Formats: sequence, C-alpha cells, structure tokens
Amino acid sequence: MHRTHKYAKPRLPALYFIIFVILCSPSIAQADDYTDALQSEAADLSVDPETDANKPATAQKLVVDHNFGQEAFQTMLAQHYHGTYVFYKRLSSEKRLVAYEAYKKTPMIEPLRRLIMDLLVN
Amino acid sequence: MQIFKLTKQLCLMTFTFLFMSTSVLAVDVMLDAERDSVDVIHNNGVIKVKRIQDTDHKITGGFTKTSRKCPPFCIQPMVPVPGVKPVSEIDIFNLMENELVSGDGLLIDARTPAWHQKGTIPGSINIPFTVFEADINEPALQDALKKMGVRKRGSVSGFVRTLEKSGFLNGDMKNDVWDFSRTKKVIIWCNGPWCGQSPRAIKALVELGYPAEKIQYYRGGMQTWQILGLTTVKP
Repeated sequence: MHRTHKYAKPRLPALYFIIFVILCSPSIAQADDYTDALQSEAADLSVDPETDANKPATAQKLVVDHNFGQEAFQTMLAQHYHGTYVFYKRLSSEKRLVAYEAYKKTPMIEPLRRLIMDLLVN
Repeated sequence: MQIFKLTKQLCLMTFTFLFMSTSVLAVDVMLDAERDSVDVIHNNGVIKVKRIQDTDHKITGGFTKTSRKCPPFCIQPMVPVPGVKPVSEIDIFNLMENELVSGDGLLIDARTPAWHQKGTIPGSINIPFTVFEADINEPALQDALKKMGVRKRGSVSGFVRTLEKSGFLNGDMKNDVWDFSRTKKVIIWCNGPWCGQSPRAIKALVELGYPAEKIQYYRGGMQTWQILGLTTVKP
C-alpha cells in the first residue's frame, strides 16, 4: 500500500515535463509561427475588386445577322469567342444544333455560354 | 440604274455590319495571341476568365504589397521538388479548356481557407497545404487524394509487395499504402513567388509518392494573376 503511493507521486512532474518539452519543441513552435503569420497576413488581404467575376457587368449584345447559317456561327465563335468554341466543339452534332438555334433566338454571348456548358455537363 | 442603287445599298449595309460587329466584338487586352477569354466551370457555374480591359488600370488591394517578413514569406525557387514543372498562366488556360472539362486534371489552391475565401482563380478547388502534411489516416487527406485520382490500397501482404517490387506483378506507381497509377495532372498554386504554401503542398505530395511529373507549380500565383488583371472569384 505504502509502495503504490510511492510510485504514484513522481509520475505527475514527469508528465508535466514531457508536455513542456513537446510544446517547446522547435518544429511545433515553427509550425505555429508560420500559421499565425499566414492568418495575420490574410486578415489584411483583399483582391482587386475590378478582377472579381461577380462584379456587375453590362450584357454584351452581339450585332450580327440573325439569318446566318450554322457554319458562320461556328466561325464567329472560333474567331471571337475561342474559349466558348472549345467547349462547343466537344458537343455532339445534335447539341451543337440546339446551341445554334438558341443563339439565333437570343444573340447574346452570355446565355449562349451558359447553355453550352449546360449541354456539355448534362 | 436600279441595280447600281441596290448594289450600293448592299455594300453600305455590309460595311455597316462589319464595322459594328468588329467594334462590339473587339477586345483590346487579350489573354494571349489567340484567346480573348476562357470559360471555366467553377462551383457548377461558368466563369469567363478575361483581363481588365482598362489599359490605365493599376491594381489595388493586398497584392500591391512589395515586402513581407522573410522568414516566413521567402522567395521560392522555380522548381520546389526535382521533376515538378513550373508553369505559366497559359498552361492554366489550357488546363481550364481541356483537363478541367474532361476531368483529367485539377487546379489546386493550396492556401489556407482564410486566403482562399478572399478570392481565388476560377476553376480552383481549395486543398490547404496542411491537409497534405497530415497523417495518412486523416480523412481530409484521404478525400483530397481521392479527388486527385489516388486510391488507398487495402491491406497488401508482404508477399504481394515483394512480387510487385521484383516485377512479377505490376507495382508501378504503387507503394504500401497508395496506388498512384491513375493520378490526375495537377497545377498547384498559392499567393505568388514569396509564398511557401504550395511548395510545401508539393513536397508533401511527392513524399507520399505522388508522381512528380504529374505535378505542376504555378509560382506566379495570385500575385501575378492580379498584376495581369485576370478574373478572380469569391468561392
């Protein structure tokens, strides 16, 4: 009984010492410093609002002949909206026709972009 | 006389149409020699990546800052780990148009969420560098690697590993824990040449066994992206 008591006592300071050593180890201190520095830098940060995609923009209406054919439509996309054209090229011929017909009804590039992406994803 | 009048009218109409079309469609600041913009899928929507068209514009915000304390914000080498290729904005545009659409590639913003929330490159997913440095049993690490095409191997016996190592079984791109044979091409980026977050993510990935040749490093990061007036998005 007396023995058990003798063993239990010195354990606590040893535990405190181990925790102290772990907390003071350079790798942990460094990691905390780095994440702290990251946090404080990020707090002051903002991106240029002019680059924000959600900045309100005026819709771009195209001045084109509504009666032009699908080939002319493709040429127009390839020449002026290469990014959209890349996605358009990945569509099946039926879906390309859907995009072309939609554009004839509403000759706006933004709705066309959305439609092409919808057709591509679904 | 009537034919002449009609031809003249037709010519005038064609000229007007051509003039108006080019004036509406013309872009002063293109992305590169061929593209004025790139469409990219971001959070199930579509974002058009382009440059600010105002040639007098100067950037504002946190990325105008020239100096931060080093350490920790030290200038990074072009190649963080041998075998990893440094890439430019053009490679990002190509990734957006190809591998991001086909699902064969990922654009990874390796910054901590506090930075990511302020604005990111469209098409990016946020996997902080700390995730790649976590223990292999950490669910966040396992999820991240899964997105990158890495599969966790079940219990692999020592015998199977010996056969793989000796070439009797296909052990290419596999280690005791992970199977890297179907990994995606990834471009990893952070805040710019002074940012150590993506180099740390890359080092941790290569240590896990991810093939270095499948990793590309966009060292320019958000700093260069901003200087070029390229579109950003708040997640």
